[in-house]
Amino acid sequence: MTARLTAVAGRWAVVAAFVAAVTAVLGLLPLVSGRDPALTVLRARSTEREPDAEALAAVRRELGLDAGPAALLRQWFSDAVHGDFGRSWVSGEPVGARVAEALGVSATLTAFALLVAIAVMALLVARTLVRAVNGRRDNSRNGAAAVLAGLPEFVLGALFVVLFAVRLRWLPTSGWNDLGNAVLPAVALGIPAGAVLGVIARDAVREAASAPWLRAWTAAGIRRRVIGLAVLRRASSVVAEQLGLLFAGLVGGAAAVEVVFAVPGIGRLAVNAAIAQDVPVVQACVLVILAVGVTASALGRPVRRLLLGPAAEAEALTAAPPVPRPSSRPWLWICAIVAVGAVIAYGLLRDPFAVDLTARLRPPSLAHPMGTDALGRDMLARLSHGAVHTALLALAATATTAVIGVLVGLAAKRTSAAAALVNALPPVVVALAVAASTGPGWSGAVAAVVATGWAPLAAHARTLAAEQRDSSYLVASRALGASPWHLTTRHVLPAIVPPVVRNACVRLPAVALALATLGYLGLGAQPPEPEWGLLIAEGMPYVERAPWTVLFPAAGLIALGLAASSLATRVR
Amino acid sequence: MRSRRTLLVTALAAVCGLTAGCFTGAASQGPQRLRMALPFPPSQAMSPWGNDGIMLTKLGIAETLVGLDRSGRPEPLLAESWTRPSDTRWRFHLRTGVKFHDGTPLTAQAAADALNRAAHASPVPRAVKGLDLVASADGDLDLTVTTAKPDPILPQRLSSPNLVVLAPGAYTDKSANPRNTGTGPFVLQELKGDESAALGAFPGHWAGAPRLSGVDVRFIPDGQTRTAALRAGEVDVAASLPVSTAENLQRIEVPLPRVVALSLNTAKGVFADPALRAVARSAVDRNALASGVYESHADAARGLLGPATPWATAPAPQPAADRVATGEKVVLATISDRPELPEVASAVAEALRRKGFVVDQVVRQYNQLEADVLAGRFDAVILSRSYVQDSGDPAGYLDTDYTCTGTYNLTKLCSAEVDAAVAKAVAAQDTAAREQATLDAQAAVLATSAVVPLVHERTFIGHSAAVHEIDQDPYERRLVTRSTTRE
Repeated sequence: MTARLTAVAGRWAVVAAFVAAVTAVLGLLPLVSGRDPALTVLRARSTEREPDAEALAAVRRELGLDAGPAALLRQWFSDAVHGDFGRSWVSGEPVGARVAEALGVSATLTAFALLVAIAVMALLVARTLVRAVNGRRDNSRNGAAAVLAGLPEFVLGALFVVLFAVRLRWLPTSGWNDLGNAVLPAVALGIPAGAVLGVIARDAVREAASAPWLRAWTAAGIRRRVIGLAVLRRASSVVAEQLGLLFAGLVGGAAAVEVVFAVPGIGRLAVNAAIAQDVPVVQACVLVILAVGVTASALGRPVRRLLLGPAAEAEALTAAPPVPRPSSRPWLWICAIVAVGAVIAYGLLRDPFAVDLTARLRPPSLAHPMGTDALGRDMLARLSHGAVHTALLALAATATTAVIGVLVGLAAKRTSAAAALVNALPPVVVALAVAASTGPGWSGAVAAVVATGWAPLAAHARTLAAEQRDSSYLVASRALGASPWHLTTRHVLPAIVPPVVRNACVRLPAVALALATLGYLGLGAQPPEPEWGLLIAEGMPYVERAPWTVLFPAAGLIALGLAASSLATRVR
Repeated sequence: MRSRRTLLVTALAAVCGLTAGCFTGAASQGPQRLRMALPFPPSQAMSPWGNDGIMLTKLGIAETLVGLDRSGRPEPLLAESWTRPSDTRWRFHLRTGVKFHDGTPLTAQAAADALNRAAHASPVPRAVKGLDLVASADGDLDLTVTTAKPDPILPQRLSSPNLVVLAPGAYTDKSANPRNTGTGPFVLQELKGDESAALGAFPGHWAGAPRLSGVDVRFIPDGQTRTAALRAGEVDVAASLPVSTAENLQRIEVPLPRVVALSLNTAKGVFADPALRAVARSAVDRNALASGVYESHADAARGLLGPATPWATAPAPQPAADRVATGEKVVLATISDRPELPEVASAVAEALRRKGFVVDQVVRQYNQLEADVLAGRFDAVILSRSYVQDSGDPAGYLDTDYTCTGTYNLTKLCSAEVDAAVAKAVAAQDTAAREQATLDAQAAVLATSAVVPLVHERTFIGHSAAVHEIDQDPYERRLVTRSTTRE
């Protein structure tokens, strides 16, 4: 009991230290970045005022910046302990009420998004579950899931606005007045998230269905409905924690969708405040977002216990040793690779930078097989020239998150508090901190994306590893004297790597987009670079008039994710 | 099993029930209320002294002593007339019968206090900075405004939205609250954070009651979504629409006193050489930018001052440079805040490459870029800038942007001829002389090739067919007025 108490206390100490450290870093950010908060605050208040010495001195005096960041931070901590989060540097309004309001909005939106995500996941996993209950194995690929997971939220959002609000007039375009306002943003957030969950859930169902007890139950004539529920229950233990992480991640990380739908949520608030260096608002936002993250992940564990019941404690889980999946249709892959290679090679012969303002937004034709962009540049040429760069960077970032995820997942005995916290942090806030310390460039963008991207993978790896460790065949090998090293490398790793890699690969388009969207902070891709994420961002203003400017690069990213996923499975 | 299902249903119901409380509720609806979409939410709860000031005049909540006509000349507003008894003193005579929304009358004392409060705001608004402005009441309806140095354009300065006059009750220690304290045709009744504002009609307005019964404003930051809200019929008017969405909309296009210009760093790097600046200048095809990137919804620039300034005649064209660059490296920066600018930059960069430069592009949000721009870290910068500042007077812009002591001198230009020409324009007393001197100073700036004007932007105000009489103010200070109607 004492040991357990110590463990709990230690866990909370880690959380507290992390939160304190993050808020301290945010408080000291103006010092580290060398960007004068007086200038950014002045800019947020008055866009065109010349930043002369007098104006900057006035802002500094008013905010008490002369005391220095360290003194301000001390003051903030002592006030925050008493529940006073101070006043915004920009608006002068109390921070607490503002953040609480935004959190309410975001929590609502996220709850609805979660419902949508669960529905999407259910649709994706239904076939696998039905086959499993009928004693067959579903070996189909994650095609539909990968496509849905690769759809960028803000592209979906913009399309929904045009289709459902403007054309069909079923739902309002934007705002936050009533339930109708929540539908479109929740669906835009929920579809890609649900698809990622779907990939994880399918793996979990397959895994659960391959366990020996299923055959015994079927032979015993137990009703299919009962078997189905049992399989679901086993599989949900893997998904439960992911749901918690998803909720936490969306609460603070939905800024792009919040902007598209003019939802006054906490993600948008945090990003705007971080860019304006409105330190009190950023600190309060991040504090709240982290609290949500810790709570959501803390709920994951009891839920898993609830779902698995005593089986988890009694080391009585009956996971089967991993079986290699039959590889199928290699010729199809060869054909696809040759075809894609030929298209890219053809595009490489064309000029991706040639601007022709008289040939803007031309639809696909013989002269421009993929049409032209807003500057009359050939989309095929831009796509091809960006392919290698995008593929390498996105793959590198994805691979790094997967490796970190697997390693952390293997090492962690229980839910990693650090993973829960990192997962909840809004990526832009992390990116600003990274940008402050590394300066503009690609390495900063990759670092920022990797820094937040590994957490869901680590959680996935940890739950899978725990299932394997608790399962009877591993207990048996251990009893036979197998070393922990042998157990990990020969049994646990082969069982967890493929699902985690598949999880990572469906996230690849999102990673590529995250890399591209950090451009406005000076990190990552800069025009006229034909990087695919950047192509999508550049095409967005024209998505309705010239859908090909977004369609082709988005399809490219999805194909990249699919290819990476099936290659990774094959390599094993 | 049963109990768990009940639990699940209860939990779901609880989530939905609890979260329903988090919606903000629909804005009040009524006949003759105008629904508007604006891009920027208030940054300081509608305090007049920063960005939000212009929102107060745009929405007809508050008014200034002086207005500006289309060509930037002062016209009466709350002040009926003004005289200049001495070089440093101006006397303003207020309109009679003006009431604040809270019922108190507008007096010279209230107006003087409002000006003095603004002159001591933190930071001091741009229109009155460095003037040491002091206002004092001189009877019931007369006030005297003195400045430390002679200021020929003080009336124009007083047209700045930062200098609106609010009722005495609006001002507390360091802030000003325009709720129920303006003099305009509409009363600010409710402000819901970043989301919306509700305005009622003010029947006691000095020019008569407005024809609308109120205005509901929504703040929609995304330009595409703003257009969508208009197309879906959710709003009657949407301001500042992106060029890419303006096609097929019923809209008003107003030429703005802004110039998108390529500023070349004359202090260091490639463009310290005037000959290479001339090469860059000749490389750019302004007409192609205006008709291509802006889809003919902008005017190709011939000088810094554009069609929004009727008295600005086009400067003499400069000779084209016949040499080309030989692989000199150029870092060209621009901002992503206006969606057209990265495209302009890409087109300009490509034009420079064709002339032999090697160009690296940098695109960031303005507040991520500004410090580096001011420090002169780039060779070339493309920005959109208002050339009338807050006073409607382009001489002030030439002074801050192109003189040795300028506080926003992106080109780092420091030339005796330019300084002399600008000083003459800033000091010129009567209107005609000032306009001519300003044009001369513009010519002096352009002769250095430090800045290459590209296009003059227009603003797009989309509206439904039912809306009439939206103000087409090039200074973007007026939008909904007393005479605006919605059928």
